[in-house]
Amino acid sequence: MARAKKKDRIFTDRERKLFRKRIPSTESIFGAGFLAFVIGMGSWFFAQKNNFDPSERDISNELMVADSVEDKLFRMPLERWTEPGQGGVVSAAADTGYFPEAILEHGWQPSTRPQEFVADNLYEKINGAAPQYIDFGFQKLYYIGLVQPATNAEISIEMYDMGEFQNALGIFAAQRDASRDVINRGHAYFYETSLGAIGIAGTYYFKIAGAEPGPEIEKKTQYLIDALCGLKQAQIGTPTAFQAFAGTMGIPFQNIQYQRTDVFQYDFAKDFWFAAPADGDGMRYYVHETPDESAAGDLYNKLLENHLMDYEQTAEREGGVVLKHKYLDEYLVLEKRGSMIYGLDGAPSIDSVDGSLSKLETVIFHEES
Amino acid sequence: MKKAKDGIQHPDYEKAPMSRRALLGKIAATGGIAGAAGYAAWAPEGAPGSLRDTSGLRSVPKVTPLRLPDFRVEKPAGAADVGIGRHSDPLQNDASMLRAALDAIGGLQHYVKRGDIVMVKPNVAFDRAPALGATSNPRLLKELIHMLIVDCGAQEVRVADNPIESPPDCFAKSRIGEASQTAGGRVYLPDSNAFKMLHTPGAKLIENWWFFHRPFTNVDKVIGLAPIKDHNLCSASMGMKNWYGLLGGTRNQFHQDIHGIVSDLSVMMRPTLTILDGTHVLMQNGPTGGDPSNVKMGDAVIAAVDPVACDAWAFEYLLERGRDYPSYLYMAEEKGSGKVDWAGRVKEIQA
Repeated sequence: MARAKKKDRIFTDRERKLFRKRIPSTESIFGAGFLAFVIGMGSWFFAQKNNFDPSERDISNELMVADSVEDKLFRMPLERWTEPGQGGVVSAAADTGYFPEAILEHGWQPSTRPQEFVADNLYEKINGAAPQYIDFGFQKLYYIGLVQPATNAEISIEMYDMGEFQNALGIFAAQRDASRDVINRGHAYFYETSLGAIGIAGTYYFKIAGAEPGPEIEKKTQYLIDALCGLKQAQIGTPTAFQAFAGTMGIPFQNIQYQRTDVFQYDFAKDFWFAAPADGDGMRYYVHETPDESAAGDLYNKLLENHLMDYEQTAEREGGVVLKHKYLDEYLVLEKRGSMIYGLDGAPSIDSVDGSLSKLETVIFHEES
Repeated sequence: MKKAKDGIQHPDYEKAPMSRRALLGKIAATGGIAGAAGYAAWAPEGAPGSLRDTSGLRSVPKVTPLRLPDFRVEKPAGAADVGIGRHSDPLQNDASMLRAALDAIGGLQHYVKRGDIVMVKPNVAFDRAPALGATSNPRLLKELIHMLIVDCGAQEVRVADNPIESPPDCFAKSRIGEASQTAGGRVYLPDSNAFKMLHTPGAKLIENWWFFHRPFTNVDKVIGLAPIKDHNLCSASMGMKNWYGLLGGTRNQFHQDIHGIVSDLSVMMRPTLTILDGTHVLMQNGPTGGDPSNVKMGDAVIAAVDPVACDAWAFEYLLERGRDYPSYLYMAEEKGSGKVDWAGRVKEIQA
């Protein structure tokens, strides 16, 4: 029998033997206690069944915060990308792209890479707003973000090259806050917002916007406008008519309009400038420049022929006619001199026609000479 | 040991002659296998069993599109479909306005339960400051996340969007990233591996389209938090248009049929709640804005279980454009996303 037991053993053939002479009472007590604990836990576990509600045993937020450790896991940064070598220090070699380096003066540095967008990828910057710009002849968007590390002030510049001054004026007029007065400084026409400024300079339509309002942003905005005016495209392309209206005649910017198509609701009449003097009582000047004298003659005849459907001729002038609307009590003057077509519309009385027109002629023909 | 006879044949060699029948059988089997392989390789692409792939298209991996569940929750009895929280001093009380709006539709705790994983979708489309009204209000987002975690006991609150511009820049400049993380939310930024093909039955333009899926893994509830904006193409960008920010791929092509895509988005996403920020309304030059004077300070926050009615009310009263609703609202109604007519389904609470 003893041999059979030995065979049952796998790892040793020795008999079991208790080597200790006595078991300590502490161990006996602990053993009994531990057994009771295990039985208690088991009973509690079975008693719970499916009624377990973790919320009853939630650890308080305060305790979790007190016991928490710093999270060392990598998280994708939500801060702006900083070019290597530019972090916190103004770099002499900072890339401003198309913008003049002057935009970095007074301790500012790029917070983004200078970016450029054309019509094909403009949606990557402004998405659904892109078609409006493209309709106005958009050519290129230049963008850069700036930061002043000393104050943490942030500002961004969006500069849309619209190809022609007229296009820039068109998009500006479409988006402008009509309640704001437009300021003229250098080549720029702009109005100030609480975060920066919006305006045009040459063929550019620009938007300058800070992240938060503040004196640094106000100061930087003014500085940036001057810097942008230094660009080549900001200094060219202002048409003669606009210069005459806004400059010599002093007509408020918001009263000057450019109409590309369907002028006077005629599909053949295109590219006219209109300007309403502040004291004109509804009267507007208009000016259009044709390529040559014969084109001006053709256009004059077409305009007169169509105007006579709504107007009747009341007087003849040296280079044109004075017409009176058949139903509305207002006058229209159509004049031609050289390659220029010009005149007045919406004049309230015939008495005001001569004075206003001679003022316009003095300005546009004096400048041309 | 045996020795080879004549020194040529090994002595252990046992001759096993093959019968003619066996030889022919083996030749037939070999020929059959070779013929089948040749057929599979050279047969025209359309022939049965052909492995020919001249265009390479047959070897393109087949993408199994995923389906989004319906995240809607039945509103409690007596609750309104559209709740509006108002306050006479909205700028300092947007949090209490949000609570009032949610109370009007039955309270946030009815919709989000303890342990839920909640995905909040703000509009972070542009790299713009909050004051320009082109992105969601970070203060409102912060309050919403706080309510979800503290009041509702949400297990996790995720905040995600696929912006038009650089995602880190947009989340930083709009202050959405900071607001999310301060309140305890987790921001998910898109990357090229975060998108999956989504199948949306009933959608015309995006029946199968790339979708910013990663933040939706195991999500229980979805809440849209959108600004109210003028939009150059579709007149207004509100709650339903907000889901455009979850699309991937060349999504700009949908601008050709903007009303179609917005109504499709209402089919793609059946959110638990739609929340609109009526405290900063971009009245013109949307969706990008750029001039703070285009932003009107409103006095309402809207929470709704019906995204169509929600957008219709906001269009009429916050964008102040009367009842000349955008076409996409009617198209969304036809697709079963809600009802344009909000009369009798709106409840206002003064916070």
